[in-house]
Amino acid sequence: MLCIGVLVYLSLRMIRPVFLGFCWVFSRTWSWFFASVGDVLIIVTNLIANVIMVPLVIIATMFGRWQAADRLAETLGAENIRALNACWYLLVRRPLHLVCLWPIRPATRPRPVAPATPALASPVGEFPGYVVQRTLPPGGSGARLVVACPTREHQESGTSIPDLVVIKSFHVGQGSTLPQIVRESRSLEAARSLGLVLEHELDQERFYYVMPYHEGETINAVTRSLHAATDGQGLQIEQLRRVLEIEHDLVHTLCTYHREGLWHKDVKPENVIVTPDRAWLVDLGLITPLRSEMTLTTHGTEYFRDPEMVRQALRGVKVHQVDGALFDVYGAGAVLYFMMENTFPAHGVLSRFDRRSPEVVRWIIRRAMTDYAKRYQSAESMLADLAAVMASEDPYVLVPADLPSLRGSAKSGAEKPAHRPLATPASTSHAARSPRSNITAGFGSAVSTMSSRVRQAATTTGSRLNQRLTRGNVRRFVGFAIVLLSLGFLLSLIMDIGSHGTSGDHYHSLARIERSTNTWSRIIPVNEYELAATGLQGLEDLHPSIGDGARLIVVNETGLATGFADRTVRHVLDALSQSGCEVVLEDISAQARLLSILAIEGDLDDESAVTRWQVALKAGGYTGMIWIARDTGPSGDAREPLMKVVVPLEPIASAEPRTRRSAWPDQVHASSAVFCDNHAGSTRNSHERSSRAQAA
Amino acid sequence: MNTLTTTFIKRLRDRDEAAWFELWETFGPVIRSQLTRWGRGYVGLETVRDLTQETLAELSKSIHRFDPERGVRFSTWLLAIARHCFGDEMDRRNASKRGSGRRPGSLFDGAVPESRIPQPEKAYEHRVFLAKVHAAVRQVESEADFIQFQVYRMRVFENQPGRTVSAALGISEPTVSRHLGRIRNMLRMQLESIITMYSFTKEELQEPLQAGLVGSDTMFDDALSELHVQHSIHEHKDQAGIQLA
Repeated sequence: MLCIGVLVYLSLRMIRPVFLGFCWVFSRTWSWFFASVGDVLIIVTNLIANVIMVPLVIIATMFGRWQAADRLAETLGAENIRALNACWYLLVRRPLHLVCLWPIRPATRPRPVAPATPALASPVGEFPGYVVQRTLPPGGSGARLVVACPTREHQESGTSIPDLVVIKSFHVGQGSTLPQIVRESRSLEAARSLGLVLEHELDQERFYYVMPYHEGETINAVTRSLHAATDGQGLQIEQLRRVLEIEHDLVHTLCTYHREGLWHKDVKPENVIVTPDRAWLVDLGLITPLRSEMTLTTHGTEYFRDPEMVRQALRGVKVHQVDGALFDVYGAGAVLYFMMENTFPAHGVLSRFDRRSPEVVRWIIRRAMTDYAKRYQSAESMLADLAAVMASEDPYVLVPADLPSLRGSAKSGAEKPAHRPLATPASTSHAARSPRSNITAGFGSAVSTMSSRVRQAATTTGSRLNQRLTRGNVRRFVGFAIVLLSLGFLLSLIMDIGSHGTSGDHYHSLARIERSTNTWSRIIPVNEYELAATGLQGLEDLHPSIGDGARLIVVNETGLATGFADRTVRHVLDALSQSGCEVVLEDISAQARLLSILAIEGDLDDESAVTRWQVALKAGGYTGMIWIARDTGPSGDAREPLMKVVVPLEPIASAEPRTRRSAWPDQVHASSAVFCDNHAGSTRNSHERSSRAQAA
Repeated sequence: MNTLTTTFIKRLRDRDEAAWFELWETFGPVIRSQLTRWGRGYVGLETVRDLTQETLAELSKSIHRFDPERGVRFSTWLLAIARHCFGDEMDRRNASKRGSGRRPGSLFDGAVPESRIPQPEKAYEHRVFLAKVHAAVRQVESEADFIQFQVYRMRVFENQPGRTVSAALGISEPTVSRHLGRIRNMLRMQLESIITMYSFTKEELQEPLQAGLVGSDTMFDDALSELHVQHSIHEHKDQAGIQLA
């Protein structure tokens, strides 16, 4: 019995390892089988791909479709490498792995782990001249926001800095990207002139700017508290006055922005901070110059962003082709709706009003949020209407016909009060509230003494008379405008033909640079065929700076395109490197700085822009800049990347006046490298080279 | 089916961004509202937004499969896609809860009570019709003169007397009537165009008639005002739902 028991025990103990061993062998064989089947499938599909694609490559080559052939060959090459790899695995590695002679990594790749933050030259969180107090929740851009106070030395250094500031910082090693940094830095100069930004700094690893800090609540919180006491019935007169004050400050700030040529682009309740003395529009993340040549984007916040902007952005319209100020006006109207209704305008101008509110306020909201072409044509008009409402004794008595915009006197109303400029940080705490205080004081004063019936009658008669007068004036004006437009069109046509007759905007801008900056430009082809014909011989002759020791920075505005354009650009970069130039690709801060200037100034068509550009290059210790941009055709359609090699010029003031190039070449190719300098001596050589290139 | 409808479907299939934006503007809120209703208590505002976008994205992938000749309403088809997106989301959520011991397939029905399982019910179809009417009103608001549309809004949607409107805007009463007539004509034309464009069955084409939008001026104004108010009420409820979520 004991023996039997021992045997049973041993057999039971043995069953499990035997079973496990069997499972292991089975699973290993099974996995080998399936992996091998996978490899065989890869090889078979590769054979089929070869059968299909090789003739295609041959046909493309025969018809001279180099790019297509190149692309197909690349794909085929990658597929063949994959098939060879599968063969290697099928014949060698997997059998060896099956007999435990070769480990194979699991098929699934480990999820990429974000690299640890590299050690920083200047620790994040420490800003020279400031002591960080606390951190604020990050905004949508992911930038870091801290509240800091300036050190005594920094305050005494001459800059007027308030006691508390907000520092917004972007760090390349912590997720911020170059486009983000460029977007933020785009309008800093203008924002600085408005007092919105106190200082900004861009170094190798990070970018930050300092703004005044306003301790207060957002409109969200203020609106909630205002409506909490009303039981959903609508705002009382005191609360209404508060809302109008906030809106007045907001629109007034927008007026200042627009006067300075800026577009805030993200007007929403969360971006308005209400302090006891006034409301402040914050967040400069999307600020864009109204004249920017960049393509319109759909950035913004739903319900507070004009749908028309999205439509235009989808069409690929440029910023300067629309009036961005009108989109801000839409946002201001939406914010006023939010404050009146305690909810967002889900259906734009057709959103329903459920709470009691004056008809004139509703009118202002609708006028601000209506179709792009019919809304207030400037923030000033809206401000004038708001001022009229605030100046009335009882806004509920007012009718839309009393508003300056409907009476046709919006402009005078808007220009009447000498609104204080946006307060500089130093004067923030003691900011005088003159314009609004005056208007607000009139809230209780006797302004409308006419009875409403008399006023209605007067308004009706007046409007009829105005209509008659206006019709005649309109006809005359339209006729005059048509004649003027026709003349202007003819004149521009003649001038256009007379100047150079080239088609692309790019060449116009180059001509402008040439005209305005005492430089000369020349064009050598880097297009794939012309490059093959002419080569890059004599590249170093073009400018004495290109050669040993020259330091050129590559500013890539587009992201390198794939295919031939990429290789062409690389070819030129290699040629420059071989001629002794140092080509710098990594200096992200300098790239951002230069791109920022390009973004603000568009085509660099004035002297100050070029001067700033030169200064920025010299400050970075660069001899020149290789600017890779996407060429656009006459209709704005994107073409191949365009590379311009730009050598910095002497400051305009000290430059010798030179003879202008007589005529712009009539036939220039879309892809070209442009070399600019101010050496009169090299003009002749360059002309010769240009002629040779064209002949080729 | 008519030329407008086929043109619109063709534009969608050709990936015309403007057509997709129109579709999003018109049906996006209805889908969002439906998803909010199904997901009340289960999904939040952000998820509803994501699911709405996902529904439209799925629609863009499968638009080539939609055959208007079959007589299926576009809205019903859209609802089916929304349902699948919602079901997938619920499956994903429940599958990620380890140890629940339940099969993912059974979770959708468990999470969503039977009454909430989407069916092309009348209320939904009515919302779709309201969305079409609203799209027409929005289009007219965009095209018409601002003052003229405000006259129509005050006179019809807010039911203010002509005299009050004329006093408020500083125009004569005959001008009010003239503006009213002009906007009414624009609305009639736009409604016809929009409803034809988004309708794929005979039933859908009959909806304006049933709603009283075909008839005398007074009938038209009353019917449109009623539909506009209904749409506003739905919209208000949706907003409240979104804010609660």
